[in-house]
Amino acid sequence: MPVPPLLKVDGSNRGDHHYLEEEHKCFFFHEYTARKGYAHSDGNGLVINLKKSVLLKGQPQYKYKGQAIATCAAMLRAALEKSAWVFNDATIAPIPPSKVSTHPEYDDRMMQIVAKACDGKHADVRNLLQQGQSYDASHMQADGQRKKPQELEALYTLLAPAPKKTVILVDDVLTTGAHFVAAQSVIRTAFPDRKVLGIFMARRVPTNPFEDFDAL
Amino acid sequence: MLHDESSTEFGAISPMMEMGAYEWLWQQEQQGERKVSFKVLAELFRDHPGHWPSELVSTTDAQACAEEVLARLRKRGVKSFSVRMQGAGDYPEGLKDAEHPLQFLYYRGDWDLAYAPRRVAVVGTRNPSPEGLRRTSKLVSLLVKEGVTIVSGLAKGIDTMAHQTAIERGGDTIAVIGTPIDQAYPKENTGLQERIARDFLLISQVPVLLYARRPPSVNRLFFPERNITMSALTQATVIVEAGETSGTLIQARAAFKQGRKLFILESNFQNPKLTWPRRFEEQGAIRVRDFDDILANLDASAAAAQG
Repeated sequence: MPVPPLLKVDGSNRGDHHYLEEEHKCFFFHEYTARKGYAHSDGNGLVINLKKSVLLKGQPQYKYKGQAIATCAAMLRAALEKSAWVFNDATIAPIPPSKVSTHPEYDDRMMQIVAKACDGKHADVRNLLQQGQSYDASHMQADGQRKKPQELEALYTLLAPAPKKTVILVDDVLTTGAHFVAAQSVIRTAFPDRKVLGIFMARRVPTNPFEDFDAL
Repeated sequence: MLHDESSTEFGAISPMMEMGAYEWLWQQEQQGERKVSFKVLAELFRDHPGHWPSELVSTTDAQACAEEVLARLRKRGVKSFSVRMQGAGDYPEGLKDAEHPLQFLYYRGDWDLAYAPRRVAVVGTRNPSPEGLRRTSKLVSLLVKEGVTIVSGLAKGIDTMAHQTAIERGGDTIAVIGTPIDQAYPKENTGLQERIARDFLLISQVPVLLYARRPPSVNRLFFPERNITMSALTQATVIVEAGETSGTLIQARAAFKQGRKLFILESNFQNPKLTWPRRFEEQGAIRVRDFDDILANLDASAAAAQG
């Protein structure tokens, strides 16, 4: 599979991500549809493997998670290399996972992806946001219980040192955009002059508009 | 340090701008001396390898066309749609087997179905006999039971029966339509089209803006084009029933060119008015006396492709 180019969240697809406005600069590689849990397309296969629970560690299927992490790291690296200034002038950080680091289901897959993507580049790669408590991952929750940006903001604290001029937040799936909006807001409140961008491995395409409607 | 737009953007492609550029190219109607067509556009991109539509069209033009498309789709109640582009992720390799591969297409629904392990196109005439409809229903029921995704063109007749039966039997279905993503033809299939867009997969390669301003007599030419895409998207095409001049025969020829299997139901051979069944059989089409013939051949080709 050749490395796919990064795509923009723009006027043709922003409506699929409820909390995103024109001011939010977000990018993605693949599209993901969660409809029946099928994983035949590259995008669906990648996301489903990436999200395999860390509790499956040691089982044969867990190797697919490792492969998905490597694929994502290669895609991200190829994209970052097209704007190589980011390795000097940006802080590259994962959006915090739903579980805190002491939780048995804590999954640092996004940190692994970011670290691998920037390997050898001497970039400022690290956790920039810390999350106060665990909650159920968005994809595990009934739509109505998903966290809103304001609720998530209250959970995030910024970690020192101050980020560089541009912050690139990386996450696996862009759904409503709540996490990105919350993270950007926390960063910009403390550092109003920083530019914040989001890069996602895939954006979720809502196949049934009513599903999403219920979520909001 | 100052960065120009391109160096800050990771080489990212804007689907909206590609959509606008693609629509603009179609709007020109002429490409040099030639009338714009899928052939002309495929050649344009073949001559500009690695180029995106947006690199061949001015930003202002692409932006204006994109906004016009979005406004139109919104007005027509299309809340969510997406696009597939050659060169971006999730563009099925099989589509490149078409003689003039699509640079760009619109879809609604679950793109994963385009990658379902077994995909078979079931097609035929818009004016089927009662037996033709009965055979379609029986064939589709059997294929669905075997986990095959049913692909068809949402036309009146055989196509409609194929989609409806797939849904009724709890199977999956893909409609490749000859109208833009916001329009149904025939009108009475509007509900079925919406159902497929919501729960399954609806695909259209038809440019929205050009279609909107041309008369139906010219727009009809898009129908046979989508037959070629339907074939490219599947491993095999089954012709249930078709006349001598049916658009279905375009799909049969495309299937051969693309190295896909073509199945023809036996009843067509028994019709003395038809010459095409024997002609295609000579070229390698498989005559279906028993529906199991389809599954046996399908699996043989799948095994060969893997080995």
